[in-house]
Amino acid sequence: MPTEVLVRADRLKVALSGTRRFFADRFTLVFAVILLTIVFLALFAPYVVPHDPFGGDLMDRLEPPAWSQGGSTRFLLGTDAQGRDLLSRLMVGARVSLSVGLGVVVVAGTVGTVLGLVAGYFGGKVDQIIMRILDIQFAFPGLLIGMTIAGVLGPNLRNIMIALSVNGWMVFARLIRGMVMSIKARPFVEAAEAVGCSKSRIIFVHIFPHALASQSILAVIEVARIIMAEASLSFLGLGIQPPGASWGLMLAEGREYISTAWWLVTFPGLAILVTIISLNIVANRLRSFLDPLQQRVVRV
Amino acid sequence: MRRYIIGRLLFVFVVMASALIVVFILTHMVGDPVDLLLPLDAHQEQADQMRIALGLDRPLWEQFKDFASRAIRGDFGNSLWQRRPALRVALESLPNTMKLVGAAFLLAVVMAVPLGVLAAVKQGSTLDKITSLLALQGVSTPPFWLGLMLMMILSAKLHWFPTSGMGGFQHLVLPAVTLAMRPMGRIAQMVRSAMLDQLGELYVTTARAKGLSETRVVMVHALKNAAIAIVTMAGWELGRLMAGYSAVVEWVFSWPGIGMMVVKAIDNWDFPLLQATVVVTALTISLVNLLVDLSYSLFDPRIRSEN
Amino acid sequence: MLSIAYRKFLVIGLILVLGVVMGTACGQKATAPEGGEKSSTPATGKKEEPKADKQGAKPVPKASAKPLVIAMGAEPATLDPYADNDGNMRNATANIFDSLVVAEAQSFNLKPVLATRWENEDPTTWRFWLRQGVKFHNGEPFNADAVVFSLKRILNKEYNSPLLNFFDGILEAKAVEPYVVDIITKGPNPLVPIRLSWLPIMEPKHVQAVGADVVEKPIGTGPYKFKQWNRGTQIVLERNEDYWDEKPEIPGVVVKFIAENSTRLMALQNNEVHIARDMSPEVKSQMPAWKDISGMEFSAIRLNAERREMKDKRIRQAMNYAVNKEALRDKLFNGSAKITPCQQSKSAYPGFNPDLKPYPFDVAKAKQLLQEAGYKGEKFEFVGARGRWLKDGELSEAVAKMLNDAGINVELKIPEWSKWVETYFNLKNPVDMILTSNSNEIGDQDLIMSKFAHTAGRSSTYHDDVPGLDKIIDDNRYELNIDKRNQVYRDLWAQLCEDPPWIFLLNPDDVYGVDPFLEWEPRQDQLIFVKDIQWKS
Repeated sequence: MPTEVLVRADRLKVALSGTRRFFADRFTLVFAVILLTIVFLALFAPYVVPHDPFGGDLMDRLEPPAWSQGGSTRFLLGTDAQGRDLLSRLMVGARVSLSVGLGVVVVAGTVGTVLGLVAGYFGGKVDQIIMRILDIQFAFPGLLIGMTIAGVLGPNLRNIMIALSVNGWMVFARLIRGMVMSIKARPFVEAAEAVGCSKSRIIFVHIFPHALASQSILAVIEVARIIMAEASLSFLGLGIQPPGASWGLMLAEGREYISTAWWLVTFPGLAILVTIISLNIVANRLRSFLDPLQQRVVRV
Repeated sequence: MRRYIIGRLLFVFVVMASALIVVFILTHMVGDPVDLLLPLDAHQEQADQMRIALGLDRPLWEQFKDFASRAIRGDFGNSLWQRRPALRVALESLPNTMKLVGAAFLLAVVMAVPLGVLAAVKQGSTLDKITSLLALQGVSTPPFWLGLMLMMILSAKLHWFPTSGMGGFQHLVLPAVTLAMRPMGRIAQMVRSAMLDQLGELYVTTARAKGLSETRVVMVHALKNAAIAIVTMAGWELGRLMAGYSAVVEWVFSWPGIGMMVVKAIDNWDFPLLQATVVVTALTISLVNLLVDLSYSLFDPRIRSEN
Repeated sequence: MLSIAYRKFLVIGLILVLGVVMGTACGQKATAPEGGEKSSTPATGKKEEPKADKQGAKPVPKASAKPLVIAMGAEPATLDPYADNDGNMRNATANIFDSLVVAEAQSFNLKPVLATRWENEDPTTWRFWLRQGVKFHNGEPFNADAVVFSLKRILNKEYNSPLLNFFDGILEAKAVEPYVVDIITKGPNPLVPIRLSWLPIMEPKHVQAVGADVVEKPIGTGPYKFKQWNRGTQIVLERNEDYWDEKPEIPGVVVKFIAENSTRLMALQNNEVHIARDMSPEVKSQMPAWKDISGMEFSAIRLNAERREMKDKRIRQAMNYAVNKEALRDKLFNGSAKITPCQQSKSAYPGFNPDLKPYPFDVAKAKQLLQEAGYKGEKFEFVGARGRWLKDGELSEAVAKMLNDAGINVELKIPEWSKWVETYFNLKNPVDMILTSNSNEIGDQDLIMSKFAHTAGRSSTYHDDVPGLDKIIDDNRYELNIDKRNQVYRDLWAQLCEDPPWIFLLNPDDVYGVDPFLEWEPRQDQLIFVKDIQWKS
């Protein structure tokens, strides 16, 4: 009994000090805070937006940001061509970007991880079939197919997520398969097999946790990639449709005014830039923290 | 080696077949392009006539059989929008994309490899930091945004480069730079970490101990051993560029490439063109992958015997 | 682990990059000239020239030997002028081909081109006397056979030209003499000459010889010859040195395709193009110089006048009262639009009713009408459009908001274009409201009436014949007495204004960005005749 308590206490301590160590790096802390702020704004956008993000008054059209000449504090970042508050729309846009990013990574990550685990653990025919499908899909023009899917199904939030998920699972499968193949040769897996654990138990309880760290790092990087892909699709008119808001769409709508209303393209562009930089920095930190031996870039 | 290549070519064929099926299913999932193709004030009988001409009144299975047998012979039908053979339109735009992607890729590699190597050799120096910063910026900046900004500053204000379109070398600069940022960042990161791995290896210490010059150690021994990882990554990025990543840049700079063609095909609901472009792109990517794989043997003779 | 110096460095770098971007953007705003925004200017306005200097580029006067570069948004699909109804294509084809007649820049009065005069011989025959000594670019002579061939080609049902409806009621052409042609019509057809202005004359032997390649090998009699088509980039024309009329001053034409509006603007600022089409009114102050002209598009929202609640015309009137057209014009279009005077027509069009006035913006009146009609907040579905016409998406959103503000429960959906088209033509189950934009290139009220108000129209509001409307429209189509014909249209418009099947919106101006050294005036039909353009010395 006492030993178990001790182990638990130890674990807690390790976890606490780990968290502390993770954020001890102030540089990472800054970007983590930025990221958390964006997540917070996205989560609570409907409650914190200063104005209605979807309805504007034409009379307030194209007002510059507060600090610019002619701007007012009513609209901190100015208004768009419909007189809608840009800040409010950025917040709602964060919601779209993050939900697409997270949603796709959850779907594609789960599918890819399961397939990768199965392929790696069982090997043989199963492995070959899964890896062939993966290879074929890798040779597909992913973004072009994504554009086609979004165009065919009709561009909206759900269909973009479908389009991007279809092309997103392969990296997860490939990464974890390699890890499984090296893990399954280790003694503790053999021990579990000898004891008679079920195959699914071995895969998910014994093997998977060892690959969790690298899968999470990959997930963070993939969120960044998906956010960019969503922005590209929306920019080409194959993504979110107005009056909805997403950063890519805001850029697409704002480019008409690039020479008359700079704030319309500047802020959504910065939003994407900062979000993706933050995700990358956090992923880097995660990597050096969780996996100090494997400093290499996760190969995708 | 020969069996390997034949196997790979067979694989390319499988990819093409899958691409055909996927693209057919996708383009026949939604209704009827006829109303889109005719002007808004066309008569009803014009619409009926067109539907029959396009074979849209026949069962789906028959349409697919017909489509597949013609596609194998390279006949995707006429582009509904351009009214010319769709394959010809796709093949016309392919070299434009290859030109742009090639230039961007070359620029990326030429910038990234020396930067990555120097960053690894002088780990922690200012140069290392600049490299990391550039890499991070490269992968994080939305290319369409960067393109518009470059155009606004370098063309509209400073008049250094033409804004858009295809022409001489000058037209290539802005889109190629825009497109090169991301692969440059990714490859530089990869080169740096792969070189760091190698420089920590025992053989490097041995080589140094033997009194080889540092340049020789780095350039000949370490870089050669890091090459496979670098080539894999670079090949992957090249595939990405071809796979539609260039579409937004082509769109911004009015570059008549294959990505732009796809956007226009979707816009005009031109499914023969869509089919042709996707299949042509799949083929190109397969061949790029094949070349990357074959180039491994240049760096590592063992692979030849393995396969 | 990142060193402190490194972190500092990264942060500074990041700030620098962001700073540069915002700095340039802010700087731009500071130098951007004010004014020109409120200008409800005359048909053509031009910025004072120092602007060009401010932008940093000093445009030097061009030598006349320079080809003219026209930039437009989309690449044409074909250069077979009958194969498409496409304004972008006509940038090239209007200069390659001549028609028998052409309309004046701002009216539907006709000027002779390949025909020297024309007469109505009898109710169903129009006779045209043709110009002699004209040669096609391939050296073949122009004569009555070419006219007969061309008309036959465009009327061919199998060929299925999208321009067919411009030629409604025309049966055939007959060569009477080598240089005299008779146009035979089904019934009396008062508009044959203006209809023929949309028939570029093609060379029979060439068309037959090249077959399907005609899309890439246009041969006409026009002032410019086709030289090459760099797919995806540009079409190049060169001067026809044997042109039958006065030789044009400009030696060549380059038609460039630049999809992005902002790229097109920057290309103009960078002196790469001399005429940029379809510019947004906001950017007037950014352009070296600009011209605008009252356009031919009329935006309107088609109402389902047969849906239960909307059957009551008071609801449809209320909708017209609820839209603040002045705000749309002044804010959304920066003043570069006219408010549609309660009819999809303007004073240049025969049959225009000058007595009709737009519904004033009057929310109180709208609410009162809604109440009288017993409207209880039933929801109307409103299908908007985006990316097809100037500011269509913004227009949809703004109007939806105005209607909601007046207490009309409108739900806006902006689908992709294919869905829009499907909805537009679905008359079995018509949507409550849909944004449309219609143009009338031949100035014939019948074109609008029979499309949108006649029960047989493919996109008509009405399913059931509004008392006698069909018959009036049908009969008047063949009325030869122009005055009487126009009077009927005036009365029809009055009726459709009082019992509106649409929410009448705007008639936007066409805005062109132009090189300040260009002497050129735009036309209401958007054709650009390069032979009439000169460089200022």
